[in-house]
Amino acid sequence: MIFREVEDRDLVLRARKGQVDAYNALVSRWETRIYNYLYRFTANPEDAMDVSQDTFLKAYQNLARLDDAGRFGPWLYRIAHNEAISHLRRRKPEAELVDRAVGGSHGGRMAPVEVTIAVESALGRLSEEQREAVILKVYEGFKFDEIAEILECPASTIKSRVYTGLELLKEILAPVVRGAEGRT
Amino acid sequence: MTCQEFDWKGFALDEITAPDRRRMEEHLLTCAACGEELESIRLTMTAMKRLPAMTPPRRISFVSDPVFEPSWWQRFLSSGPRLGFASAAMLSMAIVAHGVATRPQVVNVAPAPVQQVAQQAAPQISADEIRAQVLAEVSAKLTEQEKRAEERRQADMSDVKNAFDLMHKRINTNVLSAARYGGD
Repeated sequence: MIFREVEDRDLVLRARKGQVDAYNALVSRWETRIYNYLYRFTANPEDAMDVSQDTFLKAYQNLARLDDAGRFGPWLYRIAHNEAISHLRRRKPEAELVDRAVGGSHGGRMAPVEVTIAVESALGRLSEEQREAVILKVYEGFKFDEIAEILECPASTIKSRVYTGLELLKEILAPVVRGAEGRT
Repeated sequence: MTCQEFDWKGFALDEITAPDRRRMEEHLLTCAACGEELESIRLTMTAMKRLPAMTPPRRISFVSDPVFEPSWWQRFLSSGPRLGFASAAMLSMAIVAHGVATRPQVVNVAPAPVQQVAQQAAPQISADEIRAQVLAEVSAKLTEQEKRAEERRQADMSDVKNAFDLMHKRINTNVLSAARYGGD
């Protein structure tokens, strides 16, 4: 993580001076992570793609406003979060999102399918705040302080959302987890 | 410390201090209930991580792509030297245009007025006197026009000098800026 920050800082400083290749390198480094975060949050590949594109465009346009060049990652996630929220509010009511997340099918790309569907369904049953906090913690590996910075709320609130979300997931996934454990 | 005080979610999420971790690891050796609690959290997280990382269906548009390309006027405005030269060129053109538009008019020394004067003065004044009088008038007017033209020429030269001084300063400023920031 430290190496990534050091390199990000260098790339951000070079991109600010107008070096296009430096920003291209930043996009390459972060696009898959940002896309996955948005995909898990929105539960829709097209939304995730559109918001990813908007996120990188907005980040490029506002690169001069980034106070600490070494904190490009959390800053980028904050932009992605804001873009995702405004995109979802603009396009779809929340109920539809949750329904789709619960019942969503993604073309048999995952294995084992049973666990995958159960996890997607379980994530869809969390509140939007809990889901995003859990995704940033479990999938993206941020610390509570970093998630607090991204979502612009106290770390204690983040901790509460993650713990509550994780407890719900534990209960929802218990039968699947036990079944998978029993088979292995 | 009792079992309820142990933060097993924090333990699994790596959000506890090193001393707390050591204490909890020691506790796990003697407490089966806490071991089960930690195991269920870890199994839940393991199940969640069964969701594979997705590859974006198409790559994010890079800065070099058309969506990021600045328009011609943005490129022009962002180039200091080009802007400086263009300003100096426009100023020079304006000075030249001003000089052409206010060129001193050629004095009309058509013979008609002279004949008229001569005809009117014919009864009293000889032809030589009339010629001398006309020559004196023409000479005075020529002198006056030459004096005015010289004044305008001096003023134009001063304007041109100022314009070149300004252009020189702008070029120096842009060269210094480019050297300082490493851009063009």
